[in-house]
Amino acid sequence: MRLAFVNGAIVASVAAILLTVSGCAPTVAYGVKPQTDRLSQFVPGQTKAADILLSLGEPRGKGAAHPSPGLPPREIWFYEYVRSDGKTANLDLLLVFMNGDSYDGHLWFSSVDTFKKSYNK
Amino acid sequence: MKQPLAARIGLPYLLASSLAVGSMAITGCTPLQVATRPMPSMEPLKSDLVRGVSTRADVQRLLGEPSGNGSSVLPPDLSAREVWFYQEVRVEDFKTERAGSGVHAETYIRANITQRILLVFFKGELYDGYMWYSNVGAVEGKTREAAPGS
Amino acid sequence: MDFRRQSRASFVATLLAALLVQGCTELKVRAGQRPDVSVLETQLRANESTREDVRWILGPPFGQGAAMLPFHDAPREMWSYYYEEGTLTDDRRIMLLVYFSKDGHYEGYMWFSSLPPAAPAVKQTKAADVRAPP
Repeated sequence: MRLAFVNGAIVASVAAILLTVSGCAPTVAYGVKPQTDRLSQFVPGQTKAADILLSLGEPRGKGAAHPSPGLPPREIWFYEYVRSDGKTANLDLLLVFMNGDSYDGHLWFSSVDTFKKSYNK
Repeated sequence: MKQPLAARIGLPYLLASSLAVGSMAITGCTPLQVATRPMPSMEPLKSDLVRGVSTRADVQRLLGEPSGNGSSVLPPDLSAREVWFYQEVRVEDFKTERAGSGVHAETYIRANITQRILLVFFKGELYDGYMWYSNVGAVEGKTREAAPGS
Repeated sequence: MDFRRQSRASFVATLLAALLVQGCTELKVRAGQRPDVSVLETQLRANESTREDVRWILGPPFGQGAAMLPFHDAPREMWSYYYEEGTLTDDRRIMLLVYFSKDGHYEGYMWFSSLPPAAPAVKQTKAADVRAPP
């Protein structure tokens, strides 16, 4: 399955930084932090959608993947969490692949970015 | 079909540039650039890193420390793989110009935005693939002053 | 590919106006153009449609990249499409990635969205002809 790129953290982080410059409250957050520690409990082809819902909760969104004609299409369940305090941005993203009613894999990553501003002299 | 630049830039950078300009108007500062740490060249992906041979240490030496990590279990083999995540965003060259006055005043904004993202996969200790994405462009916009008392 | 083009002012104006006038937390933004993912299996055909077909049907991409995923024998070219809308307290978007095989043909896709369901997007083609010239 192909992987997706997400840039939501940048929205939150740059907004927070610049809002901080202007004196406004800096914390920006949306979504729910995905519980990636539970992924190890899932077994491809066996874990069902209902089990995933119980374990991870409702996804923030959905999608689909059909990366090549040699592979069957998969549904995607999309979880994310973005938070920024004006200096750093935290991003947690989880994609769960579903083959019909069964878990068929995942991709997740968590990152922290720090921002710098450069001023004109 | 012609797509607006926003379609190619995406909200984060447009928000970044616009808020940068907004902060300029509010504070009087003139930020030229807001950026994360730069990402390394992706040339090693083509020329130096070899799937199934290169190690984590090789990747770290050639690409540097990732800004994040994670894992994957991907069809069709469903083998667990570790993921390293790299990202670079730069919003720069802010320029603003005010036109008009009073309720008809408008502020024009322009900035250049660059984003790069890279995911690197490992099977055990060995490099097992990648995915990268990049976009570069400029954004322009304008805002109008509010009416008095609003 | 040249990404340096003019932008529409509407969402920039909206968010700046909100920031400067209404208070720092009243910020509404919108960016990009919502891609029509229904065409991925109906108007585009794997191993047949070309880059030009994809550009004609989906429009020009806003990003480019490459992938050599664990099951690929060689790198694949990738195009991305994007639409996002939100505030500083919530943000929703759709991301679409389109993949091309080594010989330059459309090979597949991946998309995910946190946007609410919407009416079908405006079609960019006049007819369902994946071989319509650009």
